[in-house]
Amino acid sequence: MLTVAVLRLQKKQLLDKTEITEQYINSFNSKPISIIVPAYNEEVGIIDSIHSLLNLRYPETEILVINDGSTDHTQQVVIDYFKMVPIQREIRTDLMTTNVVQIYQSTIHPNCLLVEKENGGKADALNVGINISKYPYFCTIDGDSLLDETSLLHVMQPIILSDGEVIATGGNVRIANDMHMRLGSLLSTQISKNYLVLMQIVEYLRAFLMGRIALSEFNLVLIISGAFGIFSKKWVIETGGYRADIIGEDMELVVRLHRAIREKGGKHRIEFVPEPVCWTEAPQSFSVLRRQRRRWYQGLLESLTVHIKMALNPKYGRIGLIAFPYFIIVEALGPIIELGGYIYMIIAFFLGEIYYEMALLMLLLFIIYGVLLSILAILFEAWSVNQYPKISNLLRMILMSFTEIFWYRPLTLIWRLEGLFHFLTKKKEWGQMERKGISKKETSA
Amino acid sequence: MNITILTVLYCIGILVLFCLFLFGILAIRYFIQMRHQRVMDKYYKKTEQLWFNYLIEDSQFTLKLIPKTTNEIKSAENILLSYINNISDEAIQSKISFFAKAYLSNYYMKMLTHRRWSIRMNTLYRIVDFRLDNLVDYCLENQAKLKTSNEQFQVFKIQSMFRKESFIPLLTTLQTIFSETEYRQIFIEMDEEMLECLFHLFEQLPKNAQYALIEVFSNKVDFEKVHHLEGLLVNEDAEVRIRALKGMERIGVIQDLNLILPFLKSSIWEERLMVAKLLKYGTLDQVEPYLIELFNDPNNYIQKEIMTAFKKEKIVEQLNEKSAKGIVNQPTKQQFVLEGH
Repeated sequence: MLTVAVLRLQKKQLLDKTEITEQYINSFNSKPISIIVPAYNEEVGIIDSIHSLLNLRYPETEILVINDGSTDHTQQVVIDYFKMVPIQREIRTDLMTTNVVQIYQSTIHPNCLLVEKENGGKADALNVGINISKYPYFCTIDGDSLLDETSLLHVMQPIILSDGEVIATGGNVRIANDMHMRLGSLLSTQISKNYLVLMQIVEYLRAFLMGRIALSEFNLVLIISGAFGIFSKKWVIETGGYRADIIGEDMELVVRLHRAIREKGGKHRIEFVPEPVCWTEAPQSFSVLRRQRRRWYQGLLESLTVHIKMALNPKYGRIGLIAFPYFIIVEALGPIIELGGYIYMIIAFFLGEIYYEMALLMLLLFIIYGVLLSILAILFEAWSVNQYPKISNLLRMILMSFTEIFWYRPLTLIWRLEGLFHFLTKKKEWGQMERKGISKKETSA
Repeated sequence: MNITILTVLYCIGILVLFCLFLFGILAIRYFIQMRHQRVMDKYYKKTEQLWFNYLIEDSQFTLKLIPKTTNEIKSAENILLSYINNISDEAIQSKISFFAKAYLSNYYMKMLTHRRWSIRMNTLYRIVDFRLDNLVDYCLENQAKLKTSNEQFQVFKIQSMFRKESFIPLLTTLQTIFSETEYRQIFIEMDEEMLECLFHLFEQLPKNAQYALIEVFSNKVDFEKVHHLEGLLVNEDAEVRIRALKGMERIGVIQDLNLILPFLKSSIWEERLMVAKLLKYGTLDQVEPYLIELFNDPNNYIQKEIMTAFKKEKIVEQLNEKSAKGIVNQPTKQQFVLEGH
């Protein structure tokens, strides 16, 4: 996977990416997109998020903010800020959802709508967005995330160039905590000082820039981040839309799409595009991070379980024979194996069976291996954006990588095991995500 | 020392060296990047106003504009591209093209055979952007080195711009098939004469090129081109027929209703839908019987099209009246709900 990621990123490192924006910026060469933003209690960051969508350089979009029964002032904030008025609009019933109460349209930006609906969860909100959307492709983005202005142009490129053979693409998600922002645009990118956020930055780089690039080369992408993905509406409707009874609805949909591709035959693909960037808010406290990781792991297990028939099934090609076993063994069983390792060490310690010199050397080996992967991820990031990090930021990230094995990995292991417990006991809760807003806001002049 | 411990120590040593090596690459690259950026910024500050004077104010060309180093060339490229992308002016384009031919051609010739794919691609982009027709022959001579599909497309695009006489025969004989989007990008830049020529060779074109040609013709919204699209309505390929109908709908004219009536009974719902869309360009007397037929269509998109297109004409009420008499059926599947207070 490392080799594939290296070759892919190195190849495109010096490519002039503005050529893509200039070629596809007109509506004749592009395809219109409905941007669906499910929002639940997002009053802190929703305005900036919508501003970033309005700033997008893309010829034709509509923005659908789906207020999923928020209990804070999300709805009123959006209505007041964008001068929205109630309208009548057709709602198809391609997908079953909870009730839509009212649709509002901005009088300032007519392509921006707010949908008020009964609370039904993120999956249900996305399905409502799909029912209301008018364009053949839709983009999912979280209510607290910001897109780079050329993100849509880049992420749509595989779909446009393949004449629809690519039915879904995912973009790169990066952490934007503590960055300077104004009206939805990032003014400067800088690394957060919060050590928990810094650790997540390194983790995201490894996951996105090593894992997904390689998997995408072989059409093995099983996850498109719910924070930023593009889907063919036709394919999603045909496969039944997002499942509201599953916590990891984003992964489950992608797996279902792969299944549909194989069952229909044909050459359709799902790809990951490293260039476009979605900036998102990472949890800044242990409690929120814990809920997030628990939910992610539970979602992973649910998605794999629902489609377990695909595992090692030649009917599903490389997805069944390679991707599924990889996700089961490495991602799903990984925490259990890791736990087994810790238990074994503890037992061995009490039995006096530990060969201390070897144990310490192995520990050192794993630490340095982890640091190496982190440095590689940083290098990949530099190639991807053709911008090398400041030495001070580089040193901070490397230092954080050294400490990962002592606190971050054990913690995420415990949280994933909690996710396993929730999965086995069929508990379904999203938990509360505390929003602080992505960045330092510029005060008005 | 125990062999196992020795092995682990060697592994640790190799990993540490690799880490230091990568750290070194990142650090060195950062400083190199900073140095390059300083050179580019210096060139930009020195020449920003001079470029404006030369390109916009029509001042005399000054030798200070000629970039001396690779970084200055990159800075000059950025400046020139921003003019090309933001100002549509043939005089400015000509000056930029003249400058690039005179002072950047040698650089681009070297870059065209660079070992790195991204540099070769950038060079091909610049040949198109700066209209470097003096490099076309060199491009074609080195085509063997430009092997990837992206490069082949760019060379194809360059030939469509600068070798028009030989381009059309090439289009019909080329082994490589591009995507419809890629053909669109080429055809949209062609002049009328070339497009007419292509239409005469329609059947010889690859399928993607056929679809792209129809889209380009439709996009031009030229009433005089409708007869080309009408000629495609008898094509064997349903996709061609549907796109031709769609193109006629976009242009907004029915010259001969009899040409589209056979599609009323088509087994392909998309063709019937396009007829529904086209009927709004006919007079009510002409089209009413066909409206009724389509309003009874089992496909809800077609019924909805009739309702949407004709609601202002109160046709829907009339059709509903006829429906009460059992002539027209109401849509029952996939309800279209109009919500709001």
